[in-house]
Amino acid sequence: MHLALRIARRTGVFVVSLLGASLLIFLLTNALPGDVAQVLLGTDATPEAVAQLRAQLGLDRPLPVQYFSWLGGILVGDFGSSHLSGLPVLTLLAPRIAVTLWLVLFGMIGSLLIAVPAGMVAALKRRSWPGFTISAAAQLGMAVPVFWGGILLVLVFAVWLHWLPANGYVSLATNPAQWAAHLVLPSLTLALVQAAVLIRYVRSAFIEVLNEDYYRTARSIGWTPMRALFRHGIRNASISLVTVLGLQVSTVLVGAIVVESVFTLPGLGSLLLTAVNQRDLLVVQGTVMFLVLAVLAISALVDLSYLLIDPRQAAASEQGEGSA
Amino acid sequence: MTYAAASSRRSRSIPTKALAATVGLVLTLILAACTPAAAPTTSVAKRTLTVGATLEPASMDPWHNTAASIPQVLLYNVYETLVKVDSTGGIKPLLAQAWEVSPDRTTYTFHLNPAAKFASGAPVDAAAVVANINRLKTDAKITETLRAQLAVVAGAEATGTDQVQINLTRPSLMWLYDMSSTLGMILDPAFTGDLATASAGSGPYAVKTHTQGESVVLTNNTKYWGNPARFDEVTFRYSTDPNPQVASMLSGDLDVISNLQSPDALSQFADASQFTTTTGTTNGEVVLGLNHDNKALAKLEVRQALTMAINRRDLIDTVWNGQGTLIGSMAVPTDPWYEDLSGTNPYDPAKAKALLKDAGYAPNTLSLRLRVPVVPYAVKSAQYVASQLRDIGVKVTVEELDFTRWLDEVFTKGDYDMTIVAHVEARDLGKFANPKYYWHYNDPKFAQLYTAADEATSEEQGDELMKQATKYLADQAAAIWLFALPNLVITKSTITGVAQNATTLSFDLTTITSR
Repeated sequence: MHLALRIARRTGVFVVSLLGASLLIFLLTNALPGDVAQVLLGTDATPEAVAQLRAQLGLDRPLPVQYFSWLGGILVGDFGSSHLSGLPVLTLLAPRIAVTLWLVLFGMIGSLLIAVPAGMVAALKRRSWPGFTISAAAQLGMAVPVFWGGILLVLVFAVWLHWLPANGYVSLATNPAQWAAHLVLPSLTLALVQAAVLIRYVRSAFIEVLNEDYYRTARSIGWTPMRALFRHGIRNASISLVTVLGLQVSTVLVGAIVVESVFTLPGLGSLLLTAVNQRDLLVVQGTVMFLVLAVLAISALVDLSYLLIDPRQAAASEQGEGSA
Repeated sequence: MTYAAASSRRSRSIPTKALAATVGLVLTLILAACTPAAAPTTSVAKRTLTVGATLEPASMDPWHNTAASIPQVLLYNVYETLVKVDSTGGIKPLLAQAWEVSPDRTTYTFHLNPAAKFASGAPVDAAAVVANINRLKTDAKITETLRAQLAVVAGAEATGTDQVQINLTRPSLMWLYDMSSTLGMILDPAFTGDLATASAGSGPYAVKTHTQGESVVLTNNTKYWGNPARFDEVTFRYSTDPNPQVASMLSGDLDVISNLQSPDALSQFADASQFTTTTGTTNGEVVLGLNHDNKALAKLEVRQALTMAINRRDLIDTVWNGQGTLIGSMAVPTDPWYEDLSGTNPYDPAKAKALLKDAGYAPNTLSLRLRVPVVPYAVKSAQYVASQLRDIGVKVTVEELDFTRWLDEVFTKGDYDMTIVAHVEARDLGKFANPKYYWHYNDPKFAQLYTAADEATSEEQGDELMKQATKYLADQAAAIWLFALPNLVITKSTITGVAQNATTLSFDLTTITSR
């Protein structure tokens, strides 16, 4: 298939998925019992006041009208405004996205820093104790729930050792050192859990490389196993690794939401939780829509990144012989 | 395979080196991040206080939003009132040095402190007080609570630069108490900004920033007319989950937990060299509310039976670690008319069964839905209550609803038989005089008693009548009062001056100091 066609098809899937997601998100959030007018007015509100506020907020309009007005807004970059604070949803989202983005980024980098070396060792030493230990540790890591891992790290590094803050957040602009300090434990929590999943994939990818002819050739001309793996192994192993990473992004985002709650980080997760609890529907819809957008965009990027990692695929695309 | 195994043996040291280098790098990064955390405020000798609190306010405007989390931060700290309620429940001067009440109790004359001024430097004079009363009277959007409290005010006039006279349409015992809270907060009349994000009061602090989802920061009002603020900056940090709060306190990030929401964690703060635990009372009555529209619950015998079925002492021990006060009616120990009525309809399951039978309910013929909001005290109490009611042959279904759904279905639409929620407002006995309130308790005799108490000709008589009204509610088993929530304040041992009892919605910073 031609490269341009392939990109166009990917974009089509992307748009249709987004539309489907938007409808699903809208229907689900509107199915929640209770409403924001009541939350806004509190326990002393009269039914008349609640009805008046609902009308003022446009919550009394038929659902299709509300859906299309929301969707129309999104198309021109307007996600609406929070019923509760009156601030535009995008204004509320922006600082939260930064927090979650840092967390996901450091979590991913951390998990790679742990998983790649550990997975390589586990592959090279798969028949001796370092290999067994790493595999066992990875199994254990997968069995541990994210929040529990976080609580353990807080207990050790914050409560016992007093090295790091237990929770909370300081923005990068306010104090870079404090910002870093507040992100260490949450990122490490996310990285450890994620690494446990990745190690297995890294290990099997490298075992495959160890059985390849090019590896044997490299070894036979006198290269050490590490040199052979670094020069030829990593690039070949990274195709399956990138696939897994792409698939894992949604898991990492969910993990980040749990981690945010353990460490009271003001990210997308906590915004979403508060908004759901207060029925601030436009904020809920905007946040979920953004998360869907992020996951879909990443999976599209992963798809396209194969072309960069594996020149054979790009060449095949150009010649119109490859398959999507 | 053999080959791979053999090759890896030859190069054993290399992967170990790579691993060691990676681990070293990660550790260096962690340590680099750790260093500033150990000494967070050494650069500037700022006096700071970090307070852990539960519910985050949505805005900084207490006049258009009923959330108790707003006055928690603002009352007495940022906005001052003419009079103030102290830790024992007594009314004390604040902006007013003194006040007189006319013999018919409808005219109050307040003598303002001439030194009092707003953060802007403008004086808090009679004109400012009158402007505030008029502002609220003409604002169509103020909360229903404020509107109801304001209904008794006929008008206000300045009778001197620092003397203001407020006329009431009828005598009201509650009015002066109300003036010690949001109703009485005096805003700088010259302020034209956005109340939701900024402040213009006369208190020792002013709102600096509110970071949604994170914190509210107050800063020292350097022009404060009274004793200067003891801190340059006070941060309220929010977490609805008590566990991160406990961890923050243990790790030294917080100076104060304003009210510990997990009494089970108290033992973790037992080390007196590090922490001080202050235990007192709050205005929060944990009420097992009964829907009087339910045919069975409209019968006195049934309500009495349900009350007698629950061992409330045991309930506090089980669900709230023994912390809290048995009350027995809609009053707490710091109310002037409080008496311990927990002995009314005491725990007696045998008598409870007999009463149910008398009311026409054989065992297991009465089914009730207990619909509670998901808040720790309610969820835990609900399980305990359900089990005790089952013991006397009442079928109970427990349903947990998130707070917004509870607000909609239980509180607004009255779709419930029993529910549990804490009523945190001060002196809220009058709620039972409103038949439209979610209990649907329609008892003209109580309403009369309450009105007579509020309109009494003297404070003493008013307190006495309130006492009678409170006792009447307990005798009628209008609800089941499980306990009054305790005020559990945890502070670093270097912090002193925290009020023992939370008699108002304010977390009063003005008495707190750091050694």
